[in-house]
Amino acid sequence: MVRPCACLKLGAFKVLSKQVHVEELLSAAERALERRQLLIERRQHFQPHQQLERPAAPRQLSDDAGGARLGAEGSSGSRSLDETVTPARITSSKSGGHARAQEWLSVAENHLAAAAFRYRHCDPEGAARALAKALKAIGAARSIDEQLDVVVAMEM
Amino acid sequence: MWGGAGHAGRSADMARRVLIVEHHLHTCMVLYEILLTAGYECLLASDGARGLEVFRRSQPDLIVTGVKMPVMSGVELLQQVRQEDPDAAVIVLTGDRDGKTVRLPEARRV
Repeated sequence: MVRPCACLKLGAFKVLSKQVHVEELLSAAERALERRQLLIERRQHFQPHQQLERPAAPRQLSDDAGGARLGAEGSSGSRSLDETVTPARITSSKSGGHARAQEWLSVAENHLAAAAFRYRHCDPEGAARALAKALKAIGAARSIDEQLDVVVAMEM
Repeated sequence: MWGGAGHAGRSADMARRVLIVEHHLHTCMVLYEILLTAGYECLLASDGARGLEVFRRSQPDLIVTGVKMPVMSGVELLQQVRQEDPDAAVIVLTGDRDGKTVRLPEARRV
């Protein structure tokens, strides 16, 4: 026997008991579909060679307490706006090559995408929650890899 | 073996499609009733292999699958689906009362 996290690691959204609670099942279904929609939107935004409309300048974010450096243009000032602005993108200019840290960054990227989605859909509280989770994940990544220099670009 | 894929829905264009993969007919029918009542369009399959077939053909928005099934288990189905569609939404139902444990096939333990 193993814990359901094994199924979760394989990509399941949720593991429920077969003694179905209607509310729990429907709530899990709704959240799973919402997450899928977010992932699809995110994938579409990150498709290579996709021409995006030139958006307004992204907001500057900072998180000194978490140790992660967040900025619209990041450390590579030579990059153009079109290259940097996507709904949520994380790049790490320095890294000790810790795979686990990269996984945390990937988690953070998902939360940032969720934050952007919620913000666009007039849910600022949800966006704030997702953003807090993203910052926490970035903090976790930095706690694993101290060399990590994180740059976040967000279009809100 | 019962099943294959059948479907119903209150509005075919708008309803989101859910694939229910469950070996036990009774459980399957309960899930079907719940999800249909909630407005989902439901597709049914009696085991993982048939579920995968229906998934490939119909591209449902969500999969609700049991674990222990003949031919192909829910975990194997999950792995296959994940390979083919990384964004697929899958909910796994375990027979365990509190949903805290899932028995995986020996060769695929993680």
